[in-house]
Amino acid sequence: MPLLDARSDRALLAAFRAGERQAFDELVRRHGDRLWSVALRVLRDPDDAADVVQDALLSAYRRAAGYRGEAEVSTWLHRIVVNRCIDRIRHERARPHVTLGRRHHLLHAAGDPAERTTTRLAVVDALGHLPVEQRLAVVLVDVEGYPVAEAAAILEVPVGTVKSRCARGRIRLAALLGHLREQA
Amino acid sequence: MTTGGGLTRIAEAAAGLPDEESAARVLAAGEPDTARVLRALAATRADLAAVPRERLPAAVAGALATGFDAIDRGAAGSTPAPVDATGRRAVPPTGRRRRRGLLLTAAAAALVGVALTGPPPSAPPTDLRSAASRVLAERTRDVGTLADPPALVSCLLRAGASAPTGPLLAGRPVRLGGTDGVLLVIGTGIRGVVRAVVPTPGCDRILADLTVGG
Repeated sequence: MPLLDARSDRALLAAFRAGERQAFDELVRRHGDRLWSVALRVLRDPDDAADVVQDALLSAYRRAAGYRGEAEVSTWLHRIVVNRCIDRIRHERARPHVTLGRRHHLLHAAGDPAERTTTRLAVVDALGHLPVEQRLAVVLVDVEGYPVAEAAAILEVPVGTVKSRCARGRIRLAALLGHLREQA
Repeated sequence: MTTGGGLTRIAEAAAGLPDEESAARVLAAGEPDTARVLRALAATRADLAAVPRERLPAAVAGALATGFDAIDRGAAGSTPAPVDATGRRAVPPTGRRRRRGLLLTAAAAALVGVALTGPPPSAPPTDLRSAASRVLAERTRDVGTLADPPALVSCLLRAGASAPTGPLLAGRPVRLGGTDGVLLVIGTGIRGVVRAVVPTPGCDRILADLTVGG
């Protein structure tokens, strides 16, 4: 069982740049799950997410020497993944959207595990109906729980822009998920 | 009934826009169904927060480790793929395209003539699937330094393709759409399914990448 590495992300990246390969492996262990979650929730396709995460982390591995320390290492890694996601979505824009089906009417019948699973699937599908900028903001802030300021740093936009994208995304999702309709 | 613009205004106010003081005024102004919209927003955020965190799949972690190794080795004198100042580089073939049997770089290359070159004497143009089948049947392995597994991994990653998930089964030089390449037939770990990938001889790009069989 490996001991936990107590070094900061910056210290790990510095060690990697000095030739300690295992330091980058530790960064992947620390951040890999979250990077994967972001890619999967934004792209909604495990194959696409796998490609994007691999491409992004191999790129980070190659260009670690160019990291200037202006952003946190986590932010830097997320930024690379997010940019790869944006590239992927723009290249695949012709892909058909998933049509929201009857299962969305089950959203408020919560209770048993099967219905909760249905709800999660509906939410993930609904995210695909948001414009990519709104989807990224909502995934980072509302799904992954990043502070707005950190999401803004990842997306390289002002804090107000993230708030606005989240607000517009949420209201659209509220309609898609039936929360507005059913309370009208 | 609140209009679309009204809904957005309430949602933005709930997010603290345009500033906390103005947002508070909007929320306190009591538009007809502000409370209903706020409840809907809260329910939406609860749904989003309930989406489970996923773990990085072991297969992806393994492929990353293989890729890091290949970069470290700089196998066969290769150099890491060039990356521009912003960190972006050309998007490689997508998983969908790679895994589901479509071609990217040479669009519809399966329909483009593929000429087998080098010894034995050149064969008539054929399609890539047929070429892969033929090379596989002949067990030809005329791929130079790419017969070395680390060199193969390095070449494919450098060219923008995914790392191999199985051994090199066969290969030989080809001409694809008028461009020289090296046809590599690689195992996938799935019985009866192979990957036919064609990098250029210098591994600077991929001419074709498709799954055959299955």
